[in-house]
Parts: sequence; structure tokens; C-alpha cells
Amino acid sequence: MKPILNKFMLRQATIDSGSLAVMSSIIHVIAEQGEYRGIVFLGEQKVGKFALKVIDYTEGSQADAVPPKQTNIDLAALDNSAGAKGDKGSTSFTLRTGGQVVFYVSTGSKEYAVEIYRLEKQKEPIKVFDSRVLGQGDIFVAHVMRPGSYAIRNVKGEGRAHLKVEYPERGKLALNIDPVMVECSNGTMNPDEVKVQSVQAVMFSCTQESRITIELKIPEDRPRPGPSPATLASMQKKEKIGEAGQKAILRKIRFFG
Amino acid sequence: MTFTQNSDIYVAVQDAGINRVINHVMLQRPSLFNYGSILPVTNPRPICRDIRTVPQVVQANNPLITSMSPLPVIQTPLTLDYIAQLTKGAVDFFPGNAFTLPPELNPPLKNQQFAVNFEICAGLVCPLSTFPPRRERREIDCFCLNLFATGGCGITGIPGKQTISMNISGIEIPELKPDSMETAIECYALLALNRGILPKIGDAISSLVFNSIQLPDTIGSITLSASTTVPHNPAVEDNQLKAFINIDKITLNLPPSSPGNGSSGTVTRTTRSRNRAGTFDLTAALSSGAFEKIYTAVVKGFHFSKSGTGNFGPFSVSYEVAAHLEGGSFEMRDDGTIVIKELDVKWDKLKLSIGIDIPKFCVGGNDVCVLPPWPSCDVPLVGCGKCVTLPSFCFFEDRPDITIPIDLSGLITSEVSFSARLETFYGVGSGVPNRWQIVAVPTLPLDLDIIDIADTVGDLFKNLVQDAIDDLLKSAGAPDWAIDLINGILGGIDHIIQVILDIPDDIGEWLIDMISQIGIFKSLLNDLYDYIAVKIPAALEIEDPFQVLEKDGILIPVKIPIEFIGVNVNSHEIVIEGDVGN
Repeated sequence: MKPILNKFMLRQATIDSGSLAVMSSIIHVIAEQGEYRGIVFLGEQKVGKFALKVIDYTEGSQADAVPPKQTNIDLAALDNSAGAKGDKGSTSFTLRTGGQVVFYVSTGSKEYAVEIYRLEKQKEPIKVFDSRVLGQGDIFVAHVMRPGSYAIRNVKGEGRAHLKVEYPERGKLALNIDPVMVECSNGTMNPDEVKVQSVQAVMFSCTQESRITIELKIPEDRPRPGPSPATLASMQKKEKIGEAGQKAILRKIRFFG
Repeated sequence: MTFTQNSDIYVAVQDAGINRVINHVMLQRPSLFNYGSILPVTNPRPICRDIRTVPQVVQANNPLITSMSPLPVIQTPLTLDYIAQLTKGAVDFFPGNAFTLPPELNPPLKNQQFAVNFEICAGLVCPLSTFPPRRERREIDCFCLNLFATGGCGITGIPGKQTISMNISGIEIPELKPDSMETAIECYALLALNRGILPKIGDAISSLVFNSIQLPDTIGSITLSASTTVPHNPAVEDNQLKAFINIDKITLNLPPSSPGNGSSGTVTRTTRSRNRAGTFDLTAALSSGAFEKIYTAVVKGFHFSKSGTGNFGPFSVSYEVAAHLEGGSFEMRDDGTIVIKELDVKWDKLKLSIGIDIPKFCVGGNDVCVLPPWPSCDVPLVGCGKCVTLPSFCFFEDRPDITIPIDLSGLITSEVSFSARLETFYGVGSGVPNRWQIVAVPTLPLDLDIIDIADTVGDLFKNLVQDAIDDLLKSAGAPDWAIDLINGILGGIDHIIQVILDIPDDIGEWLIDMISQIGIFKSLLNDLYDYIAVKIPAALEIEDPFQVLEKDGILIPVKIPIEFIGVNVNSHEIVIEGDVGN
């Protein structure tokens, strides 16, 4: 098959928790049961919506169906402006009380925001979550791929940090190593010097209003070696000689007709 | 007794066999032996002796006599019809025991000489209008004479186009008187024999001796010349005419497909045993040295080529291969077998394109703790209250394919060894003529030994895989750092080879296993078996009946039945023996 590279994973634009893009995700906990509605934004434009039913459930209780404790919602799949119209995935989700919604963007170059409203009987829906402003208990996870130096800012507060993404070394890169955690609280980021391998996630745990941006300041590039000399010109043939001086046979192929 | 001490090839034809050939020629081309002005030529009457023919002569409306002008009667406008017939013919090679020579030829037959004996009948038809009719019908007055002649043989022509010639030196017609008339008639007969009849017989013998060795132009060529290291060539002795021939050059260029392809006929091999006793009509022997020339040509004539696709575990493979044979040695054994040893298989082209599926390269998917926030779900002391699995992101939408083109031409050392037994088969044709085949039947199994693959093949393969991955990423638009990143994720080429692709340490042997499994080696052995057992015999087969005189106008070709052919091998030579049928 013709390989199709997900180039969006290699994007170099500033990473912004308020404009969620590929390789980043937001974890939000919903504690109360009820009917919720989600609205997906592309900039200021509403491009999608979804329903979320949060069911009261505690571990070990009797229920016809056990609601999930985690629901992943791909915002790109809900983007009607991209022709999704719900056909890329479900527009209705369920979750148990105290469960986590994980918002992410699977593909594409677009950056999304999401708002969640709890539906109240005969009342205006109440906004309970806005990804542009992360709050207490929200977690923002970013996979930063591009090697280089980055500036991390909480644009809703005073927190600052420096991120160094190391250049990938062949044979030295471990997959799925644990993220590095950064706490955003009281106008600070702790730690404020972060070093990660390329593809290692940075996990921001927020205890105050936050909107995290990660901006590339100094990219790191290295010259790549040219193609390996796949030539036979220098190849020398050596015949393997057995101990008795007889030719050693690597394989014997017999033909029986 | 070794036949080929002084030449590559020895061919001997026995006089009894030649007499059978003469008989076949008389039956199939009677106009060579009957001359006159009596019409019609297809059924002349009256004649001295009935002319025996095969039915095909009559069916083809062939003349029974060669038409001549009538004999003019001097000082008159009249002509007389006449006929001259050679009614019997026989050849007798030294020491001479087929017939008794008249005293005038100083019997017994001298060494290296042959004798011929013909009965000649001639008659004149008297026209009824010329004289008072003595008979009711047109009749002929005939007389018959016995003609004896002796002579010697030689080889004429340039090498490659040589023929055996027979030349009469003494001639005698015993009953004919007066002597001067006998002399005059003998003079005429001598010219007729030396210039007319014997060259035709010589052609027939030459066909047996030389042409049966010749190859059709389409599949090769062989250049023969008479040996000059024997005292007599041809030699006339032991009731045989013996020729000693050398092979100057032989080339084989057998087409890749079977020579039988394109014709609608098939040949079924059968075996036939000899039903005659005594000396064979034809004895031919091929020296070990001559066989070496043929062996070299046969080896040179083998070409293997194949392309196709196959699978080797999870790998798809397309290939393009070509090979030829070189070197090796042979041994002819007294048990009748020929052993071929260490025949090198030279891989002129051995190109593989190995299709490999690369993983999708996904990152993410970690489990992280959100209560309390922690980078993993393994939270010290308090444990994790709420564990979340992060989404994963993949660099490719599906497992991408890469193709590794590796050229192993000339990098594999291999050799074939086998033994074969020479056998003769009588091929019964369906839609094609019957034929005798001398077949080298390989003794199964045939073994192909892979001796070596160049040590550097492993590094070559690794480089090609690395280059292919880099090219794949480049062509997909990945920047250099991303290529390094993905290579980093893949863990380096050794990790890719050993862990991701599950290829063993010895890549050379792994490639040999691959080539073996996709059937390239067995295809070569199969083609080699087919070449030896089918194509070579098809190139060297002898049609039965065997043509000794070509079709000439409406005259049908003259063919002689080959009653038997046998072959045996000893450590010195290959001996082929045959009989001409009645």
C-alpha cells in the first residue's frame, strides 16, 4: 500500500491547550450525573456538538450496563465543517460519575476548543467546562516531537517554564516512557526546567485557571548522513572452508523429479 | 576393444547393412536403377525384369525408369525402344564373403577393398511394322549379365562437408564375348558406376556416417573432419567400412522451450530390444575426449532464467534470476553411468525485491493517574485513585510497505552434482515421425549444493533496509528530524532487523532460505533435469525411418528403417550400435 504519513504529528506550531491539536489531549473529570451537551469550536465558530450522559455509578453497584469510567472524544471526528456530520464516530457518549472525559484530536491541522454544558430542566444550560480555561483537576498532556528549546507559559496566569526536547538518537529512544509532570499552581510551574525525549509527553496538572502554551524558540537540527553505499563493488567473496579443507555446504537442495 | 583410440568418433557400417540400404534405395527410387525409352515411365511394358517398388512410389506417381531417347536405326527414321536394368546389387567389404569374384578380378578380395556385384538386364523392342510379325504383341528380347567390380574408398571434401566416396578400379563381366565387346561395355559400366551409381551409394553411406551426427541448424552446429592419424580412413575391413572422425567444433543453442513446442505431435517413449544377431549394421563410438567436447557444449548450452513472485513468511518476494553452468568434471564409468561433479551454477542475475511491512509507529497510549495527578498509574504509597489511558497517535494510517531491492548476482556460490545413465528409447510419434532417442536419464535426486553467500550480504541488506525506510519517510514529506525520530523509535537497524522484522542474525543464510522457499533452486534443478532428459535427446534424436536421399522433384525421399539402436558406456567411450531394417 502507499504509505500515508500523518504529517500533522510533525507540526511545529505552538501547542496551546486552548486550541487543542494533534498530539495533545485534555483530561477532565465530571463528578455529577446528568445530561450534558458538548460544543466543538474551531476558533470562534461552532463546528460540532455531542451529547454526554453521565450516569451515577459506584464500583460494585448493580446496573444493567456498566457506564465507562473513561470516554475519549475525538474533536476532529465531530467537526461538521470537515464533512464529519457524525459519520466519523458517535456523537453520543456515556460516562460514570467521577469518570474522565479525554478530549483529543486524532488527525488534521485544525485546532479546536470544546465547551460542556449541563442540561437543567426548564433552565438555561450551565457551562461546566471550557477547554480554553482549564481549571482545578484538569490535566493537559502534550507530546512534543520537534527537538529544540521551548518556552512554556500559562497565559491565564504567571507560570513560566523552559522545555528542552532532546534530539532523537537511533537506538536510544524508548517508546511510551512515563510523561514528565508539571504542576501549574499559584502562578508558577513546577518544575520550571523540563527535559524530555522526543515523543515523551509533558503532563500539566492544573490547580488554578490555566491555558498552557508551548512555543518553539530554538529548533535543533542535525545533518543527516547520506544514503548508505549499497554497492557491491567492494564486496569480496570468501568461500567457507571446512576443517578438513572440504567445501562446507550451507544448504543442500534435492530435486526428486 | 576400444574403438576410439585414434579419433573422437568411430563409425562402422557393415556390408550386409549397406546391401539392405541399397535394396531400400532400389525399392524407393527405381528410376536410379532402370533406364530406357519404353513408356509410360510409371508403368513401362515390356521390360526385362519386373520392377519392385514400395507403394508410396506408385502413389506419388514416381517414374519407374529414367526416360531416355529411343535408339535410332541408322539411315531410317525408325527408332527402337530399349531398356537397361540394374536388377540386383550387392556390396562386399574385405575380407569378402558375400559373393564369389570371377578369376579375372584376382580373388580373394584385397585388404581395404570392396567388391560390388550387379545383375544388368537389357532388352530391345522390335517394332511390329518393321518386320513380318513374329508375335501377336510387342515383345522384348532381353539378355542379362553379371557385373563384378572391385575398388577402394576414400573421404573427399573439406572438413565439415566431407563425404565417403567409392571408386571402382577393376571390373569384369564374365559371360561376355568377344573380349573387345566386353571391354567396351565394361568401359561404359565403369563410367556409369563411378560417376553415376556409386556416388549415390556413397551419399547414402555418408548420410549414415556423417549426417546422423549432424545437428539441426536451429539448435546448434557440429563441425566434423576425418582423422588423419589412422592408416586407412575409411578403412574397409572386417566386412565393414569404418570411418574415423574428429569433432572440430560443437555448439549448442537450445531454445528455452521444448523443441516439441509448436508442433501438434507428441512422442511416447518405449523400449525395443534387438531381434537380429551378429555384428551390428552400424557401430559408432564416442571417445571420452569427444564426450568432453559435447559435455562442454551441453553445459554451455544450458541457460536458466525465471521471474516471478512468492512469499517467505510475512515477506513478499518478487525475483528475476538467470544462471548458467560452468566447469565441473565428468567421469564415465564401466557400470554404464556418467557422473557429473561440482558443476558450477553461476548466478548471472539474482535480483530480489523483498516486500516488508513496517509498523505504524504509534506514540502515546500511556496510562496516567489523575487522582492524584501522577505520570503513571503506579503511584507510590497512596496508589492511583483514577487511572486514564491517553490516546495514541500513529505516524502512518496503516502498515506501510517498503520494498528492498537486493541484487545477489554473482554473490552465491553453488554447484550441481548428479549421475546419469545413457539409455535408448523408441519414441512412438503421434502427429510426428517415430524416432530413436539416446537419453541421459539423470539418477534422482539431483543435488544443488549452496556453498557460500558473500559475507557482506548482511551489511548490504541492512543498508538497503535503512535506506528504504529513510526514502519512505522522505517521500512522505517527513523532515530530517522526524526521520531521525522515527528511526529512533524503531531502535536502529539491528533492532529493526532482529526484533521488528524477526530476521535471524545470519542474513545471508536467511536469504538463501528465502530463495529456496520461493522455489528458485528447485526450478533450476527442474529445468536442468528437463534439459538433460528431454531437450538434449530431442536435439540428438534420429527419425525412423531415416532419410538417406532427399525428395527430388516428384521423387519421394528415400528412407531406411532403423530397426534397433542401443547404447552402452564404459570408462573409455560411449558405444552406439544399430541395425538397418529389412
